[in-house]
Amino acid sequence: MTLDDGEIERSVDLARSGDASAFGRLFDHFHDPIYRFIASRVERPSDAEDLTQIVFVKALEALPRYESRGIPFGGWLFRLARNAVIDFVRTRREHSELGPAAESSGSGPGPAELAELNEEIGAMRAALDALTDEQREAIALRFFAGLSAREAAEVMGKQEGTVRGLQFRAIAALRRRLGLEASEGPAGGDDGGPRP
Amino acid sequence: MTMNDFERGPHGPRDAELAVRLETYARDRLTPDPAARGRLRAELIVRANEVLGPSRAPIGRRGFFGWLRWRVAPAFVAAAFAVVLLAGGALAASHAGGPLYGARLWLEDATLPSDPDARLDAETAHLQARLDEAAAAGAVGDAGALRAALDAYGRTLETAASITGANTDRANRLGWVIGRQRDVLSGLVERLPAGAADAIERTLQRTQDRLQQVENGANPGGHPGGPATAPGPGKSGGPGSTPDPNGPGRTPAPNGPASPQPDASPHSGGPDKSPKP
Repeated sequence: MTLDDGEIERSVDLARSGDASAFGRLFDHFHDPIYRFIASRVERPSDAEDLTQIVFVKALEALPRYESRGIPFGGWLFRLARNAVIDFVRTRREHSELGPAAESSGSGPGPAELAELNEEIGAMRAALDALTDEQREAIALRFFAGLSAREAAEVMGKQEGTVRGLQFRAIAALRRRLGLEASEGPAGGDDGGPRP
Repeated sequence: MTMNDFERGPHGPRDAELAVRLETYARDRLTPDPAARGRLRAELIVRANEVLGPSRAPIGRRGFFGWLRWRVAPAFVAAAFAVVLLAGGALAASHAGGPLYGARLWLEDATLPSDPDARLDAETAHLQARLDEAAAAGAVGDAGALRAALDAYGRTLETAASITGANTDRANRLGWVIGRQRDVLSGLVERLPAGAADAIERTLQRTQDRLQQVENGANPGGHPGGPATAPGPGKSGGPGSTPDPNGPGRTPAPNGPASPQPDASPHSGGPDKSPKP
């Protein structure tokens, strides 16, 4: 379900006045982007599910006191998600890496295709892990959650230009890590360097 | 945002290839499990009814009619007093088993929204309300009210089951709610006298049938641990929850991840037209 800005605002007002189904509409609209943002920042799908639940429960409980104050509801929700991820990473620095094969079922493609897919997924994961935290967050918000640069900047508390720069350097680094870099290409600048 | 946007970027096809790989990664690793989403939604709707509640209507905006309201305040207070008296009598009569209970249920039915999702949310709230009424009647030993509330619960259950149809997401949501309420009903049986317990036993049986029907609707293949099984409250599958049996990456997201943007590079300064989440 997709809602435009006006419908989101109306749904927020209705939910605040006690209409639970309006909150359901907001959930339908924001669940997947919020989940994708969180899942791109934590290792396990079960952690992503738990954190997504925490975000929506917090949003529900804070909704009666919610005031826009220039920040749209979506931005507010993503801030809750960002804080939940930061708290989670801070308190539970778990790196129990599950291989792509363990996370993905093989009901679709055959063994050879699956192996190739797993290799591709693993390479992408490694490339994303090599980004700085801010670059990864910019990619997660812009690409996986589908926010605009302005919205991502609001969530990250940065200038829009800064987010565009982070995204540019992140894409350059991903390209290089994945062997997609043009030899004569202009993107050989600072990518922020891999994380230690 | 489309792949074409990315192909217009500074690295053309190479950026398109990166976009494809990012999309593959997002599809395989970042797609939510529909069953977990359905359970979480159902739980949130139940909580929303508790947290938000119909009595939390926002304070009306002051402004154009403020002065007028002030002028007619005495008359308004008198009228409100009369309405409160009437409403109080009606409210008392509309309690489970009361003479106006049927009228109240009819009114609830008549004001159901037409959208199936919103309708299911409303029926879910009604199911919880009927259950609360049954529990309250059971607590004071009012067998008539208990029977009336349970009858209404059964009818609402039928309506809710018919709304889910073949929609897996709705079936998951209703399955979660029914599973949770079955536990409450089972708890009631143990605390009630035999006559009242019989009525609950019948409702439990009816609930079980509907739960089975909903599970079958959500999961025609009938694989074990299907999506309509009810977890404990407060968790959306919990840390031990398993991924979608069909593979987390095989089910495309309803609104897939956005592709990288043409403004990914500082070289391109075009307007930002990325879709909203």
